[in-house]
Formats: sequence, C-alpha cells, structure tokens
Amino acid sequence: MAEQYDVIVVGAGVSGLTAACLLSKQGLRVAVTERLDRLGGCCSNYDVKGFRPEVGAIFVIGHEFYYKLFELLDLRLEDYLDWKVIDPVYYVYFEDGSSYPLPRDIDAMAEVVRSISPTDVDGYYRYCRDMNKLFGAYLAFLRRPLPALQRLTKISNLVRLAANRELVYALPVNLKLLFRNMDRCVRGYFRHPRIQLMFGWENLYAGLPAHRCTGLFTMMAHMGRMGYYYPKGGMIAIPTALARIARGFGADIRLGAEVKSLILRGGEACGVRLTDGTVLTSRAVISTAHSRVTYLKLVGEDNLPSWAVRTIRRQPCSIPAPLIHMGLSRKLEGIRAHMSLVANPREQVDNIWGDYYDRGLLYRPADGAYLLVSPTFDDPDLAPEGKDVLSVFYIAPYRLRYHDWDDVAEEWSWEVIDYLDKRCLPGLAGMVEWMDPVPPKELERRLNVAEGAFFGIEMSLTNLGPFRPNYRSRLIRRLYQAGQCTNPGLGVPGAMISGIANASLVVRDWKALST
Amino acid sequence: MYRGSGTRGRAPLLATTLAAGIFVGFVLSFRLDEETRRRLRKTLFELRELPFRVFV
Repeated sequence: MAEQYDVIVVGAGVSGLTAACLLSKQGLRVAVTERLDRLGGCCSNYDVKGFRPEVGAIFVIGHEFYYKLFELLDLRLEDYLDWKVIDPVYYVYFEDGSSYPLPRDIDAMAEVVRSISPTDVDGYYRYCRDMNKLFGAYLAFLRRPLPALQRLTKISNLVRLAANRELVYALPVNLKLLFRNMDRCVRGYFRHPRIQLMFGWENLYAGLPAHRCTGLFTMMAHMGRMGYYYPKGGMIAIPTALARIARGFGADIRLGAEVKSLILRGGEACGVRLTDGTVLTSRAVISTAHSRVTYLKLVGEDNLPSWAVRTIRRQPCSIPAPLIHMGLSRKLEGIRAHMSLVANPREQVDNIWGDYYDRGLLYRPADGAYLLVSPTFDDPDLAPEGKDVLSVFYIAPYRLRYHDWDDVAEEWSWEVIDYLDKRCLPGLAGMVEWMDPVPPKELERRLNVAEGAFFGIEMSLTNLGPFRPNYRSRLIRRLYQAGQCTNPGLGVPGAMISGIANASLVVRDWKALST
Repeated sequence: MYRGSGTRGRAPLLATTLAAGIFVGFVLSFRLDEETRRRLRKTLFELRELPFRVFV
C-alpha cells in the first residue's frame, strides 16, 4: 500500500529542508527522503573517532539572509543557531615563506595591502567602494518586508523587492563585473601579483578558472570583510535546525531512504519508489539532486526526449573540489585561522587549469594551491580534547588520463601532506592519526553529485539564470528542482533561496496540483 | 505586397561579403594558438547549447 503525501522532497540538504519547512508550515503533508543516514547533503559533518570534518560547505556568507528565512517561518533564528564570525578571514602562505593574515576590518586589510604593495592601496579602496555599492543593494533588498509565500515568486513582486535606489547606484558596477571575467576585474583594481592572488582566487568556489569565471565573484573577497560566519557545532547545525523546524510543523524526514525512481503517470511526477520497494505517492515532487541524477537516473532517459538527454548530459559541471580530511593527534601550532590558503604564483596556478585539469593529468603537489580548513579553530568541540581536524581542498580533474583515482588517491594525499609539512605546517605528517582521502570519484559516490562537482553546474555566464535547470521542470509536469544546480547557484544561501522559490511555486500551483 | 528593388539588387553584394567574412575567419582561425582555439571552440559549443538549456 502506497503512503500518501502532498509533496515529496528528494534529498535532505539545505534546499530540500528549507522547502519542507515552508510547505509543512502551510499545512501540507511533506515527506523528505535522504539517501544517507545523516542530514545536510553537502552542508554537513561526519564523525570518525570523534573527529568531525566538514563534508563540503565550510562557512556561511550573507548570514543576514537567514534572518529573512526565519521571518518567513515566524521563528527567531537565535533560538536555533549560534554563529561565530570568522576573523581573520584567511591566512595566506606565499611560496617564499612569507605569510599574512587577511583581517576582516577594512582598514586593517588596507595595511596588509600597503605592506606588500603601497601603490595598490588606492585600488583597494576603489574596490571596497564598488563592492559596497553591490552589498548596499543586497542589504536594501533584505530590509524590505517579504510578501506572503505564494506571492513571493511573482515577477512583479520580485521586481518591487529588488528595485531600490542602491541597486541603481550599483548597476554600472554590476554590469561591469557581470560581463567581464574575474581575472580582468581583479587586474583592473590591483597591480601586484600577490594582491591579485589575495583578491582573485575565489573562482575556486565557482569551479572555474579565473578567465572563465564571471567577474561577480570578485565580490567574494569583500564578502569576507562583511563577514564569513560559522555555526557552532559545525555546518551540520544548519540542516539540523531546519529538520527540527520541519518536524515541528509535521514533516516526515526519512534518513537512509534512497529513491530508486520517480513514479510518472501521463508525463506527470506523482511519487517516488525507494530502493527498499516502498512507494510514496504525492501531488508534487521536489528533487534537490544534480539535474543529471534527477533526469537521467530518477526520471529515466526513456521518459525524456532525446534532445533533452543530450543537453542534460552535456551541461558542464563545475570542477570537483576533492578533499583530504585529517584527524591530528594534537593541536597544530602552525594553523592561525579557520581557513588558510597555501598559494603559489598566479601563473603557476593558472597552468593547473590549462596544462593539467583540461588534459586530465595529476600535477606534482608543489605545483598546486590548497585551501586548508580547520573547523576546530572556531569550535574545538569538533575534535576530541586536545586534538585537531584539518581538511585540505585542492583542484583536480574528475577523470585522470593515465591513472584511476581509486589507485592513486591515498599515495597522492600523503605526498600533499608531506609537501604542506615542509612548506608551512612543520610536524603535520607525524601528527596524522586518521586520514580520509576523498578524490572526485569518491565525492561522487558519497554525495551523489555528478562528476564529484558539489558546486553543481558550472557558474559561467552561459550556465546562469535561464540557462540553469528551471525550478518548475519543463520536461516533467509536477516535478520541481532545487539545490545548487538551479538558480541562483552555489553556496548554502543559494541552495536555501532555491528551496524558498520551490515552496513558493508549489503553493502557487497548489490549486492546479490538487485537481 | 510591394518589395523595393534595392534589397534584391544588394543581395549578391551581401552574400559575397558574408562569404568573404567566413573565409577570412576560417583562415584566421589557423593562426590562433591552441589555448585561444580551445576557448573559441568551448564558446561556440556553449552558444549552440543555450536554446536547449532554457527548456530543461
């Protein structure tokens, strides 16, 4: 006997849980199915011997937005989440052994710029002025009261919300950044290669080389000045809070329940079939999986026109951001910030994209750039007493031309650890108590993300806006899509926005769905 | 419906200009370095895919 719900959400990530909270608050019967036995998808922590490294998402930007979500839920954010601001935003290790903290304070950062290149200070303040205009438009948008959920996604309401005086001021900057690549934008503000690197490496988060990434990502470095936040208890605190709220409103959240396929009737999604044979029926299905998983695996190629299968398969994924997680036997003295960048000259890092990434070659550890994340820096409870957690993010191709990731991941990870030990973290190799290499293939297996790209579909200009998968599927009726593969794109707030938009559309369509 | 003779008269000129443009572009493409050619190929691929992406 099939169990009946109004809406089924596939995936208990941030987007799915946001939609579940809002829909169950509206009185709909909602079921959330999650393949894994933990919440959060890419925004989560896992536990090995008391070490709790991040799975993917490592911090939160634009946390003002979360207050907006809680406003829609008629709840107080402070009752559910406890934030800590990350300061210094990053610590950068350069190849000559010098290192700099990148403080959150704008003037303190100006002093760091001055100590490296006094001629770039003017450029730095010009950069801050431009970015403040964009940030001002964002804050003005957040100050507006939101309309009711079902009216939120109406174009006229969105225009009314977005149209403000600050946006008009920010428009020239916005257009300049949108249609120029990030590399060009950063060079427009800064001359010194090291300063360019400090303000222009966040393209890593977009999963694109700087010359292919939209200049809007230049804003990321400034967002750090406005505040990167970290929730107490690790990133999993966010989905845990959302799940608590959703359950409070009556949603049914099932962990370890993998969806085998969508049930289609007359070209409409009307439920899901789980791998254990359970059938759940509903009037609408929200899928938060990567569009390739949603369409090619859950819907099935036979149920789609051939042009759609071709298009979905060809839409490029962002780069995988493979990881090396480590549990350290004692506190690592060399770590001086929550996040540290082990940088190499810009040209050398760019070569990784051209010479190695596109050709599927594995580079020498000394040629790469690494982002080190130490969640225990801000929350010591994420490791056993007196011990530390460290995760290393790097860039690597999904398919290796001459090797298989399963064969080389461990050996390569140790090479990276040895390199970091010699370069900036003396004693690291001897302190590793537990190590978990997560190459792109493993990332794909664990998180069910196509090509190990947990940033979703790449954030280039031709894959943004109307060119990303639609919230309301145009191929399968009653199927909705949320998550990082849809608009506005990557990041925890991006996923949340897609969840809100999905909930709004389902509520708007509810009359038609009920018939 | 009346059609001006101007357009018809200019058609061979337009066609020749277009063909010459395609020819010049084709010849110039051989002089590009490998990286630029790769970027160009990627851009053309993306442009061809755009109309389909709207309907997914």
